[in-house]
Amino acid sequence: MSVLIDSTRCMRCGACAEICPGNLIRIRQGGTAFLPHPEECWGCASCLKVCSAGAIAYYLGADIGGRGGRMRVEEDGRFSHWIIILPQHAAHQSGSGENPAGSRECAGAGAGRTVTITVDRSDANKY
Amino acid sequence: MPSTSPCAQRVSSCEEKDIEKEMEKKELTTDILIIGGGTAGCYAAVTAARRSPKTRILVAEKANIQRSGCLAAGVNALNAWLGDGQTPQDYLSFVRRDAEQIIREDLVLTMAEGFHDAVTDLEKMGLVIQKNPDGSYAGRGRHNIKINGENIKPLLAKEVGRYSNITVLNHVILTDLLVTEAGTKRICGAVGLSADGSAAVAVSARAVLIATGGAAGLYRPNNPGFSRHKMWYPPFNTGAGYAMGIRAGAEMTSFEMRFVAQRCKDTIAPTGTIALGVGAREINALGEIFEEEYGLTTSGRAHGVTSENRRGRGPCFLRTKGISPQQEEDLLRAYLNMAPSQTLHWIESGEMPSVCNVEVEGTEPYIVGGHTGSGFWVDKGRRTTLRGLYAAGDAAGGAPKKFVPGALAEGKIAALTILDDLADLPQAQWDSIDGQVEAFFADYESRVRPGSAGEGGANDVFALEEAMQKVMDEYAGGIRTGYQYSTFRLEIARDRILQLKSLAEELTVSDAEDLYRIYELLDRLDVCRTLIAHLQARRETRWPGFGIHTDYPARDDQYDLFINSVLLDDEIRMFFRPLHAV
Repeated sequence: MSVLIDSTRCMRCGACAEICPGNLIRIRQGGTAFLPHPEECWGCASCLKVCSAGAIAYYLGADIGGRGGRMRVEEDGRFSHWIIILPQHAAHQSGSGENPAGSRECAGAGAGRTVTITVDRSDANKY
Repeated sequence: MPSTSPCAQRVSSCEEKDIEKEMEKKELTTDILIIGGGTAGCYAAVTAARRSPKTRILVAEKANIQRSGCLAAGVNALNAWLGDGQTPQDYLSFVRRDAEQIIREDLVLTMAEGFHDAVTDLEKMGLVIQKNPDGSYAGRGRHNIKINGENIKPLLAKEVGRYSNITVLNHVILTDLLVTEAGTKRICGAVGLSADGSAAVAVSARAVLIATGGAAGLYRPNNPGFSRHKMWYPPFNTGAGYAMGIRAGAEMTSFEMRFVAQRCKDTIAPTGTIALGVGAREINALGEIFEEEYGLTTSGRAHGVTSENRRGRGPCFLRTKGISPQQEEDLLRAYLNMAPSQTLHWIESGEMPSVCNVEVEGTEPYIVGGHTGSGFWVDKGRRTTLRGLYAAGDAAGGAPKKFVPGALAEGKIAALTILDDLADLPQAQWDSIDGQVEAFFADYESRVRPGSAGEGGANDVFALEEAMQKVMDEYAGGIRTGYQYSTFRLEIARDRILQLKSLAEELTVSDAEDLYRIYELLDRLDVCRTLIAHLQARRETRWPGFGIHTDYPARDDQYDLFINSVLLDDEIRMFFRPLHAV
């Protein structure tokens, strides 16, 4: 598992390199961020949370069951919107609008369908 | 944030002087040096700063205290708490039973006495804690409370930033302790390098607190391929604190009490949230509940899963099938606040917990004093056996089941002890330690050789790390052998680790940015060596879920004692200490 940094969206702020608890993210000559050893990522998602450009996506390696899905997070005050872009061959995900407990938003169809889960930081976990 | 790079900025509470050489060199002077800005380290800094506004405190952190250490991704419960009229004595009984007697009463009690103040202080810093209608904290089991801890580390870092007498050196990796050369042996600072390898740093300090966390990456991990760092404990916790203490001659305890965590398969995400949160029972592949057979201790639960697998009744699962839609939604969110990989796994695979049971597996072993008893041998004030050196959190031994509240409480205890001791700990003069500093700095510089990649044959730092993990896995009770080891195997492990160490001593890197990796490897090898000696010394099997000595597969009450070690003249001296006469 690891993260992908989209250098075309990178704002060259260096925030991800600053925050990474493993000092894994480095800065290229031009100022964009990159991850030289993707296999060293712990998966803590700290870099996603500080990337205001939304240039970093989180994914699971195939060795732990990853199927090509990507996850980003948008910080919005006390809310975190976790956006999961489903892989093309995603299994039996519920279709648009179907979310049993009302907090999952599904959008689109086929490849590129997304599922958004919003977490309110002012609420404690139920578990 | 008081976030400073060692080379970029002059820092307010330290005096600093430059020495002109190839690698940039910095000498810093402070009263208290805290190595590691995680849970224990941050709270120790805050405690000392509040109590003594004129004392200079320097926190050296290998990454950035905003998100470093165990709490980087967040945490969704505090697992050490005294609810429902529970007392510190009750917590002591719980820990003693869980650790099969091998605990220090004085340490566990003083830690538990600190839970309440530490947690209420966290709440004041902004941590969201779930409440009952009467205002008390909502429990999740007897010793747990529910929180939203996604931002627990930024909150702690923000509190650190409020005190002008705390300086944080982010991205500085300290490798070794400095020792006074004249008179009584005393720790008087530390040396290290910046994470990018551009600077070498020496710190003169009157007192040093080790708050580096424990050691991951000693054994071949569950996911040895691409996802090798998808592990329970931070892969960046390399056992640096233990290793620098071992090399300086500090006494260590209970390394043989390794920790094996029960986790969700592949993502290595926590299982407690499912087990306690939705009340899911652990079942084998036949659908049988088996926990009673193995006991309800942490070790017993780990042993249960390993044994069911060995007996052909695996894999094992948490029985989540049939949980309600609301429970499922709550689980998805709870995991986003601490282990987002699990939520992504559920959604992208479609194997939702209400439909599919969650497979569990045991991790590779870790050395971690916050969960089991491994670490520095400390007194009640968290003084190590070396004058001027203190330890707290996962670095300190003898007090298992610290979790976040215990790490905070120990950080506080250590800080208060240091303030008490400081009057008797004078600042070492630079000219008295310059020789040591220069030798360490020369070692750093000698290992960066541009264009040297490939020199020395096939060995680079990555290859040797993998070799170390393989040796530990096969000969020192890793996953490969179902956590089993024997006298014969341990002797092989010891010899091979020493061979690898001699290879690692010769390592160089072509890129200064990789320099710190050599020292991380050397630290892990030193921890492995001590760990193997401890496994050899405890000739019984006390915690079958954490390891089985196949020559001595039963518990033996003769080993109702602590196994401790000191490295002296490059030889590990083992000795026993009684459980109670401390």
